[in-house]
Amino acid sequence: MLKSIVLGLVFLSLLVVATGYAGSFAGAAWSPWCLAIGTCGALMSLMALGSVRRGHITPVLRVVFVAMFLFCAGCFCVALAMPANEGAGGTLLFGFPLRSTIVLLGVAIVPILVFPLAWALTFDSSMLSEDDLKKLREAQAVMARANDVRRHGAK
Amino acid sequence: MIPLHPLLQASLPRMTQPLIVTVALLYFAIVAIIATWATRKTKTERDFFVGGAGVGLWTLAIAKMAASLSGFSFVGGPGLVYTIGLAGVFIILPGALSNALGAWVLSKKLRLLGEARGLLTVPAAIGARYRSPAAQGLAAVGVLIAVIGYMATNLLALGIVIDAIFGTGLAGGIWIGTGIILAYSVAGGILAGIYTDVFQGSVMALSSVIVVAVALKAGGGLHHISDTIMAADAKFLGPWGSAGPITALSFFFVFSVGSLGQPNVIHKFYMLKDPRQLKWYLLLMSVALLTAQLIYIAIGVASKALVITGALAPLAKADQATPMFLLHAAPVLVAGLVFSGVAAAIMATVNSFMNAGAAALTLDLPMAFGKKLDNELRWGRITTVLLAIIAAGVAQISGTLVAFLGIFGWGLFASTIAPALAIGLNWERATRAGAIASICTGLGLTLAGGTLAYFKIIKLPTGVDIASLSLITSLLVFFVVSWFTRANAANELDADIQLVMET
Repeated sequence: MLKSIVLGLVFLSLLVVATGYAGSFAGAAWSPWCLAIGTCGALMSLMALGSVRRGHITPVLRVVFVAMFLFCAGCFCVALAMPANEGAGGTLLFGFPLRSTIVLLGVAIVPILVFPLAWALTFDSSMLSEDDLKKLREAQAVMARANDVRRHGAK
Repeated sequence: MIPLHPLLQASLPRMTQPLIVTVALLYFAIVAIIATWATRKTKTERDFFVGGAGVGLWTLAIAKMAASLSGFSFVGGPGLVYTIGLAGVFIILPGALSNALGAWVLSKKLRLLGEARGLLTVPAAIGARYRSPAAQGLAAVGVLIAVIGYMATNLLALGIVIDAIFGTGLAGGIWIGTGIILAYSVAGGILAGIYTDVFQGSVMALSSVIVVAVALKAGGGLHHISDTIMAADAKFLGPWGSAGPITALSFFFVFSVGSLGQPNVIHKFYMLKDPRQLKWYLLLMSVALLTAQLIYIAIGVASKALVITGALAPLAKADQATPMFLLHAAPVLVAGLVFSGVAAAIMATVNSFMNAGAAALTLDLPMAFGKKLDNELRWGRITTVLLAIIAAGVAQISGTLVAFLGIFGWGLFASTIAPALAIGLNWERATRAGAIASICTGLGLTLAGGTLAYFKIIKLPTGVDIASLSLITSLLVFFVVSWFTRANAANELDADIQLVMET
């Protein structure tokens, strides 16, 4: 059920991106909004899809993916909504114009801090523990033996 | 691995100074030593195509970083930023997100699938997932077309760099560069490639860090650089640069989601010795990529500020941003190191392409026709030579057409591989029909649309390119066709593949 919902979110996000591209052919002002929100949605829902195990996503990761979607898409939306003030004497934040810094924080700086930590901290519990690997290899060995028996039986 | 075509629009200024030549010679000598050492370890086709699946985490992360970045990151990219401002940064900006995407969506599953089936190529994973030689063969065709285009583009760029440093002439530079890469790629395959990548990646990262410091010093600090640019060109440092939000966000979409389909990069997951080492993969990869990519922004932005203040003469061509900046603002030793970094980036990328192309020809296409070659190691070496000669020939004779071939690369990889592989490995009900339909859509749209757009028979809105349209279309086609054929899904998934997908 959870995987179906996540797949639905991936598909919905891609539809939003497609709508953005369709709108760009008509010069629609909302096209960039669709591309920004749709791409962020596609990225986070694809990551969520990859983290589903036995119909479940670790609660920490659920929070990370939802929060990072809101943060990344939010940064893009703020930059799209704010009036341009990059002329002479414009406001700088960390050495770049305000809107640009917001986008850089949303798309590069914060994700590069959050995702590697979230990945490492949840790796054992939600990706691949020693025990998972052992069980997988045992099951693969059983399958291989069964295949051998089937092949010998066929001969 | 990013389109290189802007690099090809201008030759580089002459760099034939003794110190630069010495640094470059030293660089090539070290590559030769490492390659010779690694070549002795290459004994089987598994060594040749996946490094014997015995590579450690540090090696994997740095090699992946080196293969991800072509010469574009060092020359074309800063030139693009110099031209369109921060919009040009959106090609590398998704790096933090696309690394995380690759980790969650592909890393574990590809690594475990490779172990379960002894897979050597990315199309083979598609073939195994859908129990479909046809899907594997079609994906291999996409890989092969893109690889030749990309290799030709990169070899031309390498020829330009070698000519600029050693004064060999362009044709001489192309064939000398091809010969050097070929020597270690044929003898040592990806194993030699991986270990030279580690050295090359280190050169790239070191060059990048030094150049950022030089750029900030030359421009008087980031605040001063920004103030200077904002007074002269208000849009340049805006979030979308001077190209507008559609261009920037379209780059963002294609270079983030599309990263899931780049075989020369994702193929390296097969090589990791212990899958549990993936725990720290994302951290290492993110730091490595971030470090090497700093140069991309620093030179583009600093060059713009220096041109505005008159410290640097206006550039005749945007791609001269890096060489002109280095010649005028950096010590000669740094210039030599950075140009070795450019050569390193190109060589690491070409080696990965050679290997991916040779694998498609030697392993995937015969498999699509139900055949297996007798001596895959020998054929791998022969096809590597064949592909390199074709690509170098194309680079030498096709002029501007080579840039056109390079444009196809990223989009073709993304639209043919990403849907079937990345979503397919995470969705049990994805179907063979969905995979084949999406691969055909990616191939057809990218090749036909790209050709029509290049010859201006169709006109796309500003900022929209055929790669983005192909990618979004093939993704949607994959979902829709899989949905309509979902009744077949259960019959197309082998038990061992399902086990890997559920682990």
